[in-house]
Amino acid sequence: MQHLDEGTLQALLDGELNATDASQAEKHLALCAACRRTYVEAKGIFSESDRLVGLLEPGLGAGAVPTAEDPPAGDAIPREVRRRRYRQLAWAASLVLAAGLGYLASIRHYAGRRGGSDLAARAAASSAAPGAPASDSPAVPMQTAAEHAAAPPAAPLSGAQPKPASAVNSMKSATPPAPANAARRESPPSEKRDQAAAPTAAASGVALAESRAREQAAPGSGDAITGERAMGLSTGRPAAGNVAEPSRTLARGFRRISMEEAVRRLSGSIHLIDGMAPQWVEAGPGRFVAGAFPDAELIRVVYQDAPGREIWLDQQRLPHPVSLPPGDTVISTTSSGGLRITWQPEPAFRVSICARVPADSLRVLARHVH
Amino acid sequence: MTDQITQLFQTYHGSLVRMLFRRTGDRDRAEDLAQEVFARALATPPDNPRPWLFAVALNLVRDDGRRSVRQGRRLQLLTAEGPVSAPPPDQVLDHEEQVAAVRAALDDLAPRDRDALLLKAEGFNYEEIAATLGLAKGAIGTTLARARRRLVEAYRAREKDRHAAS
Repeated sequence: MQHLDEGTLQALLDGELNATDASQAEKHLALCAACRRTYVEAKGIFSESDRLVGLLEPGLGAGAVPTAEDPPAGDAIPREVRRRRYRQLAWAASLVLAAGLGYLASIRHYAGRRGGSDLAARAAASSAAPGAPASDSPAVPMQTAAEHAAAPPAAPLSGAQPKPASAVNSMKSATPPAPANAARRESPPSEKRDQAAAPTAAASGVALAESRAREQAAPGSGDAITGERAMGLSTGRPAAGNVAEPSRTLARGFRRISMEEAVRRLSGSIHLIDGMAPQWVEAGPGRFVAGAFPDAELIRVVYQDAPGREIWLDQQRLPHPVSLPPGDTVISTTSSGGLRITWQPEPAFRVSICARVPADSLRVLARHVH
Repeated sequence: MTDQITQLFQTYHGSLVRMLFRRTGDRDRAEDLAQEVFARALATPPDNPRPWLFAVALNLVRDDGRRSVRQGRRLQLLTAEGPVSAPPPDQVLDHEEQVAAVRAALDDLAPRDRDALLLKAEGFNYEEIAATLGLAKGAIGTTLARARRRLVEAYRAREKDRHAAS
């Protein structure tokens, strides 16, 4: 009987053997104690090695890639994008102000001719807050008034119904854009043309790569890596057509899945935030998330609010009923300053919502989870 | 051609930076090197992009290895900056020591073993690893088995020394 060699055992562990070879190897392992010992040993090394390589992923100390425990803060938006947004907001605000003043002047002129003053006062009041949200709108804590006014009407937070899973793909195109796109959304019309032609993050990365290539082609330019590290390269954001792609590296152990798969993995039911469009869905081991049930897979529906902060709706179908101490709801802070509210709508179904937002805002959001 | 490179960038940039970060431990350097890789792809568009991009990246890391002193300085700077709300210092310290031990163990490996391991961690299958490293597909299982075993052994030896010293 020929024993299995190291390479074959490794290929078996890596799932690289075809069905026939894998079946033969497994049959041999069932009969050969020596190979079985080697296999078990190789499996231990395999797991340990994977764990060690996993430690090398960006995480603690680097502060650049999120862990599975805590969503990135809104201020993770690249500085250049923030600057551009503020410039555009200022530009838009000045336009609104100018239009408002012009409107006021015309109203005063009209009121003067009609001899009425209350009309001008009402017009002044309405032009001071065009489209301002109602004070009880749950969106207010999550957005500035300007951003709220600029937000697409397709995504109101209150009063909307959760969208069916089958509509997720179509929702993606109507999804509130990622921060880089949000900047475009807020820009005045005259700038939109420029921005339509402006490079996406990837394209700007390519543009910089092009400039690097030109540098290299230039005589005497040398091969040294210069300090002109690309904004597009270092802070790449999805292009406009790919808003549903994760705008960051997924946390260790997590992978992206479709909404349909998420529903299936949760045994047919999933919780969503009313009126908000999911950006994408991830799945990963519960043991990587503080407060989660460690032995059950965790499904994470990722949302983004207008300032670009991620909101995580984590959910787990538990293998057996578990009660949450104390009572039904647990509010906890994450190691990075985020806030998490956890509850169990059913004895064996755990849901938590996590974001770096004020507690009141998170409570409001939690009330919209169904 | 730019469209093609844009597509490549969108598809592979994140993965490339992650692999380079695992290798170098320096995010800035990883991104610089990734940019360099795409610059080269622009100059010489590859036929089989994934193996090509990662092979160039691994070669660049090797060529850039002489700058390890600078890397050490950058790592210290990164540590000093830290995230605004950092985990407890003892947790950070322990994690950093473990990471340093793993990285040192990885450095102990033969370049080919190390590259195979890093590519596998990035989701490459045997065929892609073989294409990237210019090896026969049949040799990848043995290469990975050896790389994993040596990594674990080197790490355990370092951990043993660390605990003996403390």
